[in-house]
Amino acid sequence: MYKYDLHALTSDFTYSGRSSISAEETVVAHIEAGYSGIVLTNPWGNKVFSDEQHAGKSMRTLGEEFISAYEKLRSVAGNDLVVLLGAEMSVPSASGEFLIYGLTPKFILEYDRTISDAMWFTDFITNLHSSGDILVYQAVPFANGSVIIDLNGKDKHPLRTIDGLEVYNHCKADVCSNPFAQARAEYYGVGGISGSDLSHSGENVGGGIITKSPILSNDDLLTVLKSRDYSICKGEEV
Amino acid sequence: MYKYEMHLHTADVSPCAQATPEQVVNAYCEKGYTGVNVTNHWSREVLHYMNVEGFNLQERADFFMNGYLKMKEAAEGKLSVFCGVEVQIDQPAYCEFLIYNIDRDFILDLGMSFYKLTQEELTRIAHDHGCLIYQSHPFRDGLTILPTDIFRHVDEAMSRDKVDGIEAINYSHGDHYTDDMALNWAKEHDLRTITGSDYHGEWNNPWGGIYTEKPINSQSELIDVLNNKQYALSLPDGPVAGVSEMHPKYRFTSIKR
Repeated sequence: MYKYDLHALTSDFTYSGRSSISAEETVVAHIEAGYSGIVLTNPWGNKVFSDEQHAGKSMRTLGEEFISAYEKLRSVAGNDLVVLLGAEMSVPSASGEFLIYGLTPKFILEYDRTISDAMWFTDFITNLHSSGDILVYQAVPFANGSVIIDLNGKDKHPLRTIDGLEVYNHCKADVCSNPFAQARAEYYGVGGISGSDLSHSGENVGGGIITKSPILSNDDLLTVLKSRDYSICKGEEV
Repeated sequence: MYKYEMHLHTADVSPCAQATPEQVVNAYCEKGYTGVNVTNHWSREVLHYMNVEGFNLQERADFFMNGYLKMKEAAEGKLSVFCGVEVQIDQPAYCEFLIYNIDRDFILDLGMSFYKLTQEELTRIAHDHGCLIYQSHPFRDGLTILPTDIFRHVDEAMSRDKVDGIEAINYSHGDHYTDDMALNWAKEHDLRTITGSDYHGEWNNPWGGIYTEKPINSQSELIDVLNNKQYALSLPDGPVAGVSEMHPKYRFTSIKR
């Protein structure tokens, strides 16, 4: 069996207060907890763009720094952990964060915030889905400040809504009402994913998905998520 | 048992409603209600679509209260009518609050740009006027989850700064799951609840509100009933018979631990 954390961050690309854990600490924590791999979901979007530490930077520079953080984690992880590129995205049209999987460096480097920031949320999601093989899950859907997404498919268009919810967030378990997220995902028949949301030193790694086969690439990850051929890891079980 | 609607709009004030006071009286008498809280919208949409943007504050207050007065006149001898409001504000996020026991002075105190009030400011104004305030349909699509620590717990005394509860069932939704989620959320976080029909017109079926063992004869009595939890919720299965405190009966139990 293989275990993958689908929600982890490092301090190499962040916004004020979001994460302070180094790539090295992240790798050690995940190896000790028996993980086979991580999807690095550093923040991307208006929470980053409006942060003081990024003031004056061009989108290109921001994109390069974002990718650089991913490459650093990969380098630190070496052959001990698979590291895939994802993001925890924020947009003005919907409060909260969204976990993006299937991300490529090209998407980040070519990201045009003037277009994304001006879109209605459903158009933003459609745009994401149309830009490549990308899946979108709402992070901590029942945390304070998270918007309630229409999962009923009123638009009857699969591209226009998100692919699922984060049904278990380990580090925020006491404030994000995980069982509600799980019940909501089950009721509407959308996918559920899990992650540690490991962001700071001293936090415990937990959560993620458990698969029968190894995930070595974005393609593998997307295949697993779309087929829902995984189980949710809650807590710190190995 | 006596039944009171907690969420109702009429066309005199709410642009999204088509219900006339006469229609409301007929519909609610037919369903056996004892009284209604008229909770017309007070929002940017009202100002715009009802053409009152150019009104001064006194005129706006008169406009709003006229909806309640017309309802009261139409219901004379048939239904008790209490004055409430559903206020829409933008902070911390777009959200709406049902406020009970209001009067003209309350509308005046909200001011011209009431939609810019924060949730804390709105709550304090409501409580300073002797009102109670509940978040409407907290899990409607597009709304934002509010921190649970802004709400008063079930056994907590009223606090100037805390919202008194949530509208756990909004019967206009047609989405039982959303209501189930709100009921479970209230149970999980020990919140007070009400239910409401969110009646706008003949397409809505009056069902929501509260049941009481004694009639409510005034707005201040309504506040006492709500504060002292001397009511049962109107749930899809009907009233919870014999319940004098707020122990909601959950029709769905989809939240698993």
